[in-house]
Amino acid sequence: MRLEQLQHFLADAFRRSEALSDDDDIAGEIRAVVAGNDRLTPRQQAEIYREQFWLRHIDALREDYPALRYLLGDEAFEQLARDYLTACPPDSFTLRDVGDRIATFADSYAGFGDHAGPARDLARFELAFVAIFDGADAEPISLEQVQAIAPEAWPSTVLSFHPLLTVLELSYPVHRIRIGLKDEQQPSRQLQPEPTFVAMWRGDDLKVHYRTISQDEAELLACLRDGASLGDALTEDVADELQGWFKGWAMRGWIVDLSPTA
Amino acid sequence: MPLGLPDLGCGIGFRIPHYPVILDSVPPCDFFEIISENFMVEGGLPLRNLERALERYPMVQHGVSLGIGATTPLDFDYLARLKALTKITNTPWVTDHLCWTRAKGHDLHDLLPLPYTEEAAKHVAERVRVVQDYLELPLGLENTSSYMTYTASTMSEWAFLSAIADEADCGILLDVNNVYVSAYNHGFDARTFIDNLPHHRVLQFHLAGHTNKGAYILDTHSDFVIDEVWALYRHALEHTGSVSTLIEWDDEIPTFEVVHGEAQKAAAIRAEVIDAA
Repeated sequence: MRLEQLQHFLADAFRRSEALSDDDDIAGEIRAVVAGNDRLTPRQQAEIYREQFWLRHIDALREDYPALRYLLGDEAFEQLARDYLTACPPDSFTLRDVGDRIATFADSYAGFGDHAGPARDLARFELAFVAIFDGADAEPISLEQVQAIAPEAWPSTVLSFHPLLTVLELSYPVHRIRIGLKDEQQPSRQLQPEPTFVAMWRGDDLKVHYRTISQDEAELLACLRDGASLGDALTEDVADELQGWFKGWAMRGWIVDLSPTA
Repeated sequence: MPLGLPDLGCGIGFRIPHYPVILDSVPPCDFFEIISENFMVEGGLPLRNLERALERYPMVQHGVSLGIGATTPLDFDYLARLKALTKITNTPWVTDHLCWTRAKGHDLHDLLPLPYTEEAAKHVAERVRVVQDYLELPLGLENTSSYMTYTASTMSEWAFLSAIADEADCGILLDVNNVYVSAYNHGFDARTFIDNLPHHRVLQFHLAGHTNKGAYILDTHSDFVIDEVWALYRHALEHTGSVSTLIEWDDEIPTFEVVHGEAQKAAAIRAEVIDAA
């Protein structure tokens, strides 16, 4: 067997979800390529690597998705991890990316039972943590940049936001589970549907922060991030809120540029 | 001085539980080693912590995902990110494992052994030359702990490693614990392995603890270096002379002082061997 064929064969064997057995369809091939010794048969030697594949990747998912694991319980989470890794085998050089398709996978996963809605929201919420934690830096605007905008130029000003700012529209307040776990409590697993908008960003301390925002603020942010100027994006309903929101956005480092277009 | 490279002394792995001590108290330590992939990111806390450590300590880079023995094409996106990191760390060399990690577009994130054949040796040596040229740094190949051998192998592991290192003109990261683990798992003599390497190519040592499962030993980096491995280290030093040495402790990590104590033990052994020479 050439080197390439050998690696293809073993890669498939090591990713098998069930323990290798002497009755497997590939048992003969394993005996043909793996030598074994007086303590371990060829199958037992190969099985060490197969076991390690699953342990390593399930552990990585446990670490990155603590609230999802808490919601589902250990057994159901491990089954989710196994089903996910089977459907979406790791394709990045780094374990950091092992869960990068989990939110999409969760959308059509049938194994969540009664927790389907919150579980799908949590997959999106916790995936965002990974992306924000070590994504690219961007310099927030300074007070001088804000003060340099003439009052009459504000309506035509386009805001650029930090690329790591993430706004999620969730159907359940799943952030409460993460808060509870952080506080070493046992938050309720029984969440009632509640439309929730969560803004997530990386703070000055380089930690991932999040806060709930109103639907109006989320919609205005979406409009501005699509490139609308402040004047075009602002509706009468939220005009009174803008000053407070803008101050918060600037203080949290969400805004990285201001461009008057007129 | 192997391959004209510096002897950095005796260091330990740069690991998260020790960050508060390392970054805030700046304890004495000859050098640290990072897992390259953990810092091949675009920003955030990992790079900030690395920058702070680099202000005070020499740093070397050790990788786990190069996959030098894979038959998939070399990943130049990965190599570009690795090279960019070397510009930040100023590492005097880059190391990774003599193994394969990837096949059919999927990464197994494991250090999978190669069959010890002429075909595999030629394949790896060609790739090492490309990687060294691209990185513009010496590459050190580490012998792995392995749990499996192949019917196709036609030579010993040490002959395989030596052939590649000589053919590619690269360095060797001699993991003494891995020699011990593989010798136990496959029934060869650990000293024979060490005796038959091109010693002038050993640019760094690794030392670590492991877990004995009875039928085999698992390389867990979760314990103290055992006496038999210290003895092998002493034996290796008699061949290599003074070479940078690093303690790896990656699971059930104790305090900085405990891990650094292992580095100090390595330094004492090193001094004894070098003084006696």
